[in-house]
Amino acid sequence: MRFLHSADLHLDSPLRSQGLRDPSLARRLQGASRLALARLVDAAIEEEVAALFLAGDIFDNGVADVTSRVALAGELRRLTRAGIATVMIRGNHDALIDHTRYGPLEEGVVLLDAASPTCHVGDAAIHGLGFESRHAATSLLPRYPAAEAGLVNIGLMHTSLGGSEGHDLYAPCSEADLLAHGYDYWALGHIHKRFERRSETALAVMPGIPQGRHARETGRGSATLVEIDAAGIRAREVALAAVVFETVDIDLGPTAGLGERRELIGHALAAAARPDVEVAARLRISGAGMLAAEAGFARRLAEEACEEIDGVHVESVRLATGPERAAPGVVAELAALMQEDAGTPGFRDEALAFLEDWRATLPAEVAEALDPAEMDALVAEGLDAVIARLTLEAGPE
Amino acid sequence: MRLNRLALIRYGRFQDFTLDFGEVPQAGPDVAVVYGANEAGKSTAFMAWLDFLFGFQGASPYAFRFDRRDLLVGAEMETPDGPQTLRRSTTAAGSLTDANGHVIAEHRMAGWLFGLDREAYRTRFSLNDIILREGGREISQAQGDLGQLLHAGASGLSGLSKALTAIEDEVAAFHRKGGRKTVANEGRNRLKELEAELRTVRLDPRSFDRLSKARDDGEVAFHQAHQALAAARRALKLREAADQRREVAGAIETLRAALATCPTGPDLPAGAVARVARAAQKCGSANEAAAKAQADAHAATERLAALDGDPDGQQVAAHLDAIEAAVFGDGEQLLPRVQTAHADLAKRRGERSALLAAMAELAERLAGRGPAPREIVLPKALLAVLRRGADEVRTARAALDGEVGARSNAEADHGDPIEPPVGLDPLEDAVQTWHRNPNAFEEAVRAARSADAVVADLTAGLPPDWRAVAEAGLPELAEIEAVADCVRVAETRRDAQADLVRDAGREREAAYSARDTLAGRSDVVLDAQLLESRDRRDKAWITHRAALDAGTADLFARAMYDDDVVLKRHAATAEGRLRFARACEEVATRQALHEQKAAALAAAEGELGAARDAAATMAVGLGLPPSAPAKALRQRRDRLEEALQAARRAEDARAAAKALQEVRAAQLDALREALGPDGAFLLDAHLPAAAERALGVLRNRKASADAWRETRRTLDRMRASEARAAQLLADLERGLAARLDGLWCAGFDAGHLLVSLPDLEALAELDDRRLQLDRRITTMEDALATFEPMATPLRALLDLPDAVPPFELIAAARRRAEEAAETARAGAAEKDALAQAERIVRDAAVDRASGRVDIARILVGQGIDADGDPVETVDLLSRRDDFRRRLADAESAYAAAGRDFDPTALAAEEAERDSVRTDALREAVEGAATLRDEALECRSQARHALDSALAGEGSVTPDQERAALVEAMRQSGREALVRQFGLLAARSALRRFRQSHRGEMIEATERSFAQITGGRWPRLDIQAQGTTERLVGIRNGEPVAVNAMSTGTQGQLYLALRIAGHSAFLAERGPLPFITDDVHETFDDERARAALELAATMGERGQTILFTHHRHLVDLARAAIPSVKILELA
Repeated sequence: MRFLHSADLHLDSPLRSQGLRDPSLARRLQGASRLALARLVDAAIEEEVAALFLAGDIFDNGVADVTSRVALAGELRRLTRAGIATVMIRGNHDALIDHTRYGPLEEGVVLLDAASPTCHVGDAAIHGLGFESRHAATSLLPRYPAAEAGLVNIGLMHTSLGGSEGHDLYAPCSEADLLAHGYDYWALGHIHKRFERRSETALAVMPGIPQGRHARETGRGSATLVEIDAAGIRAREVALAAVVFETVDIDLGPTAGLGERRELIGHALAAAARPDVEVAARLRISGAGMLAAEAGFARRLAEEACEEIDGVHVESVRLATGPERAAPGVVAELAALMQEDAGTPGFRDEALAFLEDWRATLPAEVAEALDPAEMDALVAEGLDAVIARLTLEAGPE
Repeated sequence: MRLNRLALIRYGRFQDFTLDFGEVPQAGPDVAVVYGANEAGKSTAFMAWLDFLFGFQGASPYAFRFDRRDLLVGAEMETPDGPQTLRRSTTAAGSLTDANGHVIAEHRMAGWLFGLDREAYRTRFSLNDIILREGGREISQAQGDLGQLLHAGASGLSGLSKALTAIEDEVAAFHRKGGRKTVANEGRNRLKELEAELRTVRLDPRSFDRLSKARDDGEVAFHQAHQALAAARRALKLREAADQRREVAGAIETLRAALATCPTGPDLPAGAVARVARAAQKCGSANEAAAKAQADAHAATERLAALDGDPDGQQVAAHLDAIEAAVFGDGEQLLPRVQTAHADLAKRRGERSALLAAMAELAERLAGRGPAPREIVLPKALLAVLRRGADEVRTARAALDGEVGARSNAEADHGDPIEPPVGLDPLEDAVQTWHRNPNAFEEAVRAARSADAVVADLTAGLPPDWRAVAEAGLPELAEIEAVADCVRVAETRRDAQADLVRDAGREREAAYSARDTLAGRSDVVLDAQLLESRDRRDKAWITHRAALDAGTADLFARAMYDDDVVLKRHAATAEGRLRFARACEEVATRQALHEQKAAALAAAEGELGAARDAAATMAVGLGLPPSAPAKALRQRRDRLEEALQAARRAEDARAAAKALQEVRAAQLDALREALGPDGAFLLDAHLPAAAERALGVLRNRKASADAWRETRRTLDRMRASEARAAQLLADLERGLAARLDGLWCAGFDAGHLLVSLPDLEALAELDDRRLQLDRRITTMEDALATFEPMATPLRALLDLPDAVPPFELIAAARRRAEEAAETARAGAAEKDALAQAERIVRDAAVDRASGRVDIARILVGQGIDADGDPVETVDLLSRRDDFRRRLADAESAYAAAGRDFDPTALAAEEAERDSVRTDALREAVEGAATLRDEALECRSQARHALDSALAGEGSVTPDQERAALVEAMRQSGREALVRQFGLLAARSALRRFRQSHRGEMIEATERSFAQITGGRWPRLDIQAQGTTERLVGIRNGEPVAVNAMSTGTQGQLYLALRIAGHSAFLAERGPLPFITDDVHETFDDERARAALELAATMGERGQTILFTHHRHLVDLARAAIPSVKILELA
C-alpha cells in the first residue's frame, strides 16, 4: 500500500521575503502555497497512492479567508475523481475546517475527530483526533483508539512532541510513547522541519512544511511517500516547494578589490542554485569591510551577481561583525573611542530611547525586527558600518 | 632606530665615502650638523639615505658616474633587533642584504620604520626646504595624517564630518520625525492601502456568514413576491380574455356580411394567385422573345457571308509554334539562346584571347620562362590548404618565442626555497573559534537582564493571571479584526437602515395625504356613489309602483333625475377615479415598503447586538471588562502576546547565558593549548591577544612559503608548455613540406610560400574564368546551328531573304499568324449567334402553350367566364378565400380566449364593462412585477456576492505584497537604525577626539613656533573656512592666515609643525632619525638659534641630523648645542 503524507500547508500564508518585491519573481511565485498544494495532488495521482494524509494546519489562522477553503476543495476534487481518498485532522490553525459553518469540503474527504476517530482505506485502519481548541496542553495519545488486529494501523496526529524551537507547545507527547502505541505508521504534523523516528515496529514521520515561508523555514519542502508491504515500512521525500530559503555564509576574508568580492559572492550564490526550484538566499557576509560602509550596497552587489545566475534570488543580506578594524590612524582612534563610548550607560540609554521611539512609530511588524534584546548586536553592527564608512572617506582600504 | 654611519659606496659622484655620526653621545642631545658647500653632495647624501631605507625607484638621477645597476648604499644602524650593518643595491628582489650578504626581508625594515612608507617618512622625518613648505601647506590644510591630527582637535575632521552627515541623510531618508517622503512613512501608507484592499478582497468567516444570510433572506423575499405577482397576473389575464372575447364577437359579424357578396366556388389551391400571374407573364414573354430572335438570325446570316480566310497565315503560325516550343542542349528554350548568340558571340571570343595573355604573364612571374600556364596553375582548394598550413607554421613559431621569453624571466625572479611554519593550523582553529563570537557570554548576560526588564515593562498593568490568559490561547488578529469590523459594519448598517425607515415613513405619509385629498374632492363620482344613487332610484320606483300616486311619482322623478346626473358625472370623471385608484395603490405600496424597511431595521439592530455580544465575549476572554470598546481588543491581545513572547525569550536568554559561560572556558583552554609553552603561564585576559600576535607571525611565514612553492609549480608548467610549443612547430613544418611534395613549388618554406600565394591565387582565378568563357562560346555556336533548319521554311512562306536576323524573322511570323487567327475567330462567333436565335423561337412557342394550360387548371370549377382577364378573376377569388379564413380564425380565437378560465368568472368579467378596470389590473400587475423584480435583483445580488466572493482570488496577491513590503521595511529599518547607533557613537567620539588631540598637537606646535620666532607669534588657532578649516597664527591678538605670513615665517611655522609631529610620533611609536637639509636658509640668526635649540630638545629624545651649507649655522650650532657632532663634506 502506498500513501502520501503531508502537513502544515498553511494555505495562502504569504512568503515573508523581500525578494518578492521583484515583480518577475513575484509573478512566478504567486500563491506559492497553492502551487505546493497542486504539486502535492499531482504527486498523489502520479504515485497512485491509496490515500492522502493531511496531519493538520492545512490553513493558517493569520489568513482567515474562506476562498482558501474553496481552493483546497478544488484540488481535493481532483483526487476524488482519481479515486484517491483524503484523510485529514484539524490542526491548531484549522478554524476554516468547520463543516457546520461552511459545508462539507468535498466528496471523498474524511475528517477524523473525537466523534469519528477511525476510517478504513483498503487494509489500513487510519486513526486521528483533531484539535478541538486553539491550545492543547496535554497529550492526545491516550485518547487514540487501540490498534485493530490484522490491519495496517496508521495514526494522524498534530503535536509538538517533546517541544521544538520556534513552535508553540501543542499536545505534547513523548516519542517513545508514540512509537509504542501499536500503530505501524504515525503521520505527524506541526513542526515545520522534516524528521523521522523509528522503532523496531513503527515509523513516525514529521514531513515538515511543504513550502517554507521565510528564511527560518529552510529545507527542500516536501511531502512523504509511505510504502507499507511485507518487507516493512519505507518513507521517502517527494519535493513540492516552488522556492526554498537558503542561508549562504560568505567569508570575504582578506580579499581586497571590489571585483574580487563580487566574484566571491557570485560563486557562493551560484553554489546555492538547485535544479527545478527557485532559491531565495539570505547572505551572511563576514569580513565585509567597505561593503558595510553604505546601506544597501552589499545587497546591490549581490543582486548584480544574481543577475547572471538562474534560479537564485537575494532574500536579504546581513553583514556579520568581525575582528577586522581600521588601519592605524585617525579613524582607528575614532573607532576605539566609539567602541568605548558604546559601552557606557549613557550611550545605551540614548540608543534605547531611539530604539523605543522607532518601535513606537513604525508599523508593529516592522518594529518587531528592532528587538531591544538584540541591542548589543545592533550597536555592534552600527559601529562597524560607520567605521567602514569613515575608513572609506579617509582613504582606500 | 638610529643611524651610526651612512656609506655612499657607489652613489652620485661618491665612491666609498662614509658619513660617520658615531655612537649616541654620553651626555647632551644627539644632534649632528653636516656642513658642505654648494654642490658638495648634501642633497645626494640626503637622497641616498631615503634610497637606502626604501629601495631605489625607477631611473635614478644619481646614476651618472656609475650605472644604475652598480649603485650601492650602506648603513650601520641601531635597531630594536640590535646593531645592523646593511647594504642596499638596485636589484629588483632581495636588494637589502646584511654584512654577510644574506637578504633581509623588507617587512623587517618596515617594522624598524614603524610602518611608515617612503612618502610618510619623507614628509615627517626627512625634510628639505621644498618638502618642508609643500608638506607644511598640506598639514595646515588638513591633508594627510598629520594634518588630520592637527585639525581634528579644532573641527572634528571635516571630511569625516561630511561622511557622518551623509549617513545621517541616509537614516533620515528611511525615517525622521514628521517626514512625509521617508521610506518608513511611504511604506506605512502603502501598508494601510494594502490593509484596506485586504479587507475588501478577503472573505473572512464573518463576511461569509453575512453573505450566506443575505442570500437566504433574498430567497424567501423573492418567493413571496413571486406568488403575489402570479395572483395579479391571473386576475389581469381573466380581464384581458373577457375584453378580447367582446372585441372578437363584433369582428365575426362583419366578416359574415362580407362573404355573402362573393362567388361560392371551392377555395383556390395554394399559391393560385401567383401561379396565374406567372402563367400570364410567361405567355407575354414568349411572344416578345420569339420576335427578337427572328431579327437576330437574319442579321447573323448576312455578316457570315461577308468573311474571307488565310490558309498560309495558319501554316506560318504552326512553324512559329514549333520554333517557340523548341528546347536546346540542357533543356533551355532555343529562341532566347539564338538571339543572345547572334548578339554576343564575337565579343566573347575577344575576351578569351585577353585572358590567355594575362595567365601567361602571371605564370612567367611565378616559375620563370618555359612552363605553360596550365602547368603552374594549382586548384583553389589546394591553395587554401597551403595558406592555412603556412599560417599555422608562422603562428606556432611566434608562440614558441613567447614561451621561451616568459620562462626565462620567471626563472630569473625565483629565489631560494622557503619552508612552511609548524603549529599554524591548531592556533588558527583556536583563534577562529575564539573570534566566532568573542563577546557572546557578556552579551548573553546583558541580554538576559534586558529580557527580564522588558518582561517587567510589558506586564505592568496586566492582570495577575496574565500568563495563564495568554497561554490559554489568544484569538488571532484576523479574528479580532473581524469582530471589530462586524461591530463597525453593523453600526453603519443600523444607521443606514434607520435613515431608510425615516425616508419610507415620510413617503408613506405623503401618499396618504395625496389619497385623502383626492377622496375629498366633490366633483369626482366614485363607483360606490353611483351604486348608492342606483339604489335610491330603485327604492323610489318600488315605492311608486306600490302607491302609484303623484307624491311617489315626484319622488321617483326626482330620484330618476338625480341618478341621471350622478351617472353623467360618473361617466365624465373616469380620469379622476383613475387617479384616486392610483393614489390608493401608492398608499398600499408605500405602506408595504415602510414595513419592509422597518423589518430590515429590526434585523440590523439584531445584528448589531450580536456583534457587540461577540466583542464582549472576546473582551472577557482577554481579561478586559465586557464593556471595553472593540478597538481595545487588539491592543490587549498584542500586549498579552508580546508579554508571553518576552517571558519565553527571557527564559531562553538565561539558559543561553549559562551555556555560553561554559563555551567561553573551553575556548580559552583551546587558545592556551595552541600557544604551547608560551601560553602556559598567561592570564586568561591576555591569551587572545598573545594568540593573535603568534598567529600573525606564523601566517606571514606560511604566505612566503606558499608563494615560493606556487612559483616553482608555475615554472614547471611553463617548461612543459614550451616543449609542447616546440613539438607543435616541428609537426606543422613537416606537414607543410608533405603538402608541397610533387608540385612545381616543392621545397618552398612557409615564408616563401606565403609570398607566392597571392599570385598563385590570382592565376587560379583567371583559369576559372577562361574555362567559363570556353563553355559559353561553345553553347552559342551550337544554338545557331540548331536554329537554321527551322528558319528556312518560315523565310519562304513570308518571302524574306536568308540574311534576315532571327529576331526580325520571328517578329514578321508572329504578325502574320495573329492576323490569320483573328479572321477564324470572327466566323465561328457568327455561326454560334445564328444557332442561338433559332433555338429561342422554338422555346417561345412551347412556353406560350404551357401558360394557357396552367391557368385553365387553376380556375376549373369556379364557374367563371374563360375569356376574362385571368389575373383580375383570381384576385377576386383570393379575397373571398381570405374572408373565409379570417372568419374561422375569429371564431377559433373567441373559443380560445375563454379556454383555461372558470366560465362563470369569465362570464361575469365579460359583463363588467368598466372601462378603467383593465388598466387598474394592469397597473397592479406592474406593481407586483416591480416588487418581484426588486426581490429577484436582491436575491441575484446576494447570490452573486457570495459566489463572487467564493470564486475570487481572495487575499493572496495583496497579502503577498504586504508580506514582501514588511520584510523589505524590516531590513531597511534595521540597516537605518544600526547606522543611527553608529552615528550616535561617532558624533560622541569626534567630540572626545577633538578634546584629547587639540592640546597635544596645537600646543606643541604653538610652543615651538613661539620659540623659533622669539615670542613674536605666541599663539596658533584653527578657524573654520567654509566646509574645511585653516591654521592661523595669532599676533597682537589678530589672526593671520598662513599664506599672509612672510616666506620665512611660513618656513618657521612649517618646521614647528614637523617638530610637534615628531614629538607626537616618538611618544607614540619610538625614535627615528630626523633629518633636515638647509631648512634654516631663510631664518635670521636669532630665529636660527632658536630653531637649533629646538633641535637640541628633539635630540634629547632621538637622533637629529642637520645638513647645511651655511658656515655660520655650524658656529651657531656649536654655541647652542655643546654636544653637537660636526661632519664636513669635502
